[in-house]
Amino acid sequence: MQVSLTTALDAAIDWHTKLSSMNEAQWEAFVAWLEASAENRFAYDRVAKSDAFLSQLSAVPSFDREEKQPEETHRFRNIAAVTAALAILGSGLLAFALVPSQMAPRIEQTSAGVVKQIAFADGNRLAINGETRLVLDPADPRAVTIDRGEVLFSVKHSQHPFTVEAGGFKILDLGTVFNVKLTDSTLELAVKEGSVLFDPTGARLTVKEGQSISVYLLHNLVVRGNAASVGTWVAGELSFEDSTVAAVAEAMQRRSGIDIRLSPSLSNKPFTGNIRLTGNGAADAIHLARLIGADYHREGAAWIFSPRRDNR
Amino acid sequence: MTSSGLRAVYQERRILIERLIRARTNSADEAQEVMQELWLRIEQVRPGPIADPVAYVMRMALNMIVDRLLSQERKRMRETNWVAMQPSAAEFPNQETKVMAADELARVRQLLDQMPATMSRALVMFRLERLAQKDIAAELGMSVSGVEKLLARAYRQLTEFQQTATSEAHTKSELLGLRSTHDAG
Repeated sequence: MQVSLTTALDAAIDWHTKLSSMNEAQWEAFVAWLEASAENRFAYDRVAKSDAFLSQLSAVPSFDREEKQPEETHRFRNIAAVTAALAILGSGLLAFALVPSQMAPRIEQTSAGVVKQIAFADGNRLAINGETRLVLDPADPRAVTIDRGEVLFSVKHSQHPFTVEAGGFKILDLGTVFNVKLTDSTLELAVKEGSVLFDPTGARLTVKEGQSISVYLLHNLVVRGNAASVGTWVAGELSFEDSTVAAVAEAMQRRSGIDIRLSPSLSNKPFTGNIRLTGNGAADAIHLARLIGADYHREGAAWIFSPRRDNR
Repeated sequence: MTSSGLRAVYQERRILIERLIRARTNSADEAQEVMQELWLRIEQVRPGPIADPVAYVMRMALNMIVDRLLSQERKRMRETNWVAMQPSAAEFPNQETKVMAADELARVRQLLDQMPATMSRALVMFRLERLAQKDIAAELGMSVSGVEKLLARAYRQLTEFQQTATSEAHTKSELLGLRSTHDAG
């Protein structure tokens, strides 16, 4: 038993590492192998789960940072910042050599509930939502990288395209207003005016006014949709269509810093509708609880939502 | 490739797809559910050019099943905790999308750090950067079969590590359950 399981595991690993390059006939052989025994199925299940576990790592920035070129610079900058801090503490001259030059990337970072607007000399404007981190290249004001979070771009027409990089994809823009939101699992792009070119070296999808695309990063799946109200979060108006309560809580936290924790059964409840934030966190949290019919209580700064106990 | 092309593949190779799904699920009902979900997914995707549409649909199906398994696992873990305690802020992770606790991730990272540098590099290129094995071979200056062996060893370590971590987590939640019964009694 132990021996055959080990063999099955080796075979499962062998199959798994070949999956991405298998042709139709090999897929048939793989299915037949799975069908051959419960041990094979169990072994493959273990490998597939471990692999899925590994894929979660891509969501961890510090890991990516060691692998990708542009990130390398940030890391250097962080080291430099620490060294600079040490220098201030009095440890002296040596540190100054490491202080970044003026051409180092500029990092904009916001915490939950903080919205920041940036206007560039060439007329482009960015509205940065809370819980967002992006990198600006001082040498090229028309190139922005989003590490996480949400940004509304208003870009003036120019001969040089404006590029946004997020979640490993490039978005090319020739003068429009569009919104980009990057989370651990998805990249969402919605265009309010004009059009943009998504993934110019790969899929080359044109996304026009009123359209959106969602990229499920884990599977590299792209789904097109319509964008009804793009970037209204800037004014505190959140709109959801066929969404979930979890997405509403996340958007509220990002925009206004309200910390809402949902019980598992509430998070996946469907939600369609608009929410206008008042700026009063407590009022907004209670409003949402009433909308979705949930009980709530406070615990420090957090609002705990749970399903209503009885159905009166 | 349009989604209608993928729809045709789904219809033509339905039996093969269903056999794969059946072999990766626990019941005929569940397999049916996944088949339907796959059909809906095919209706929605607008992929770029695809060299081998059958292979593409088969991989879609496998990915969907893994997603289901993970969410079932998560649900089971949460429910175990849910019964044991009153709701508190610490208990619901703030973002449902954060699949694993940070310390678990840290442990996987540690495992990768402990691997020989070429092994973890190969694994990252294969799994996260999704490079083909021949490209990994070129990058690492070794043969394709060398890369194959390296990846097989890496996956074996990962699978074994993963099994230890899972059984530890189960023991932990069982212990929690035990204690709360005791407190209540």
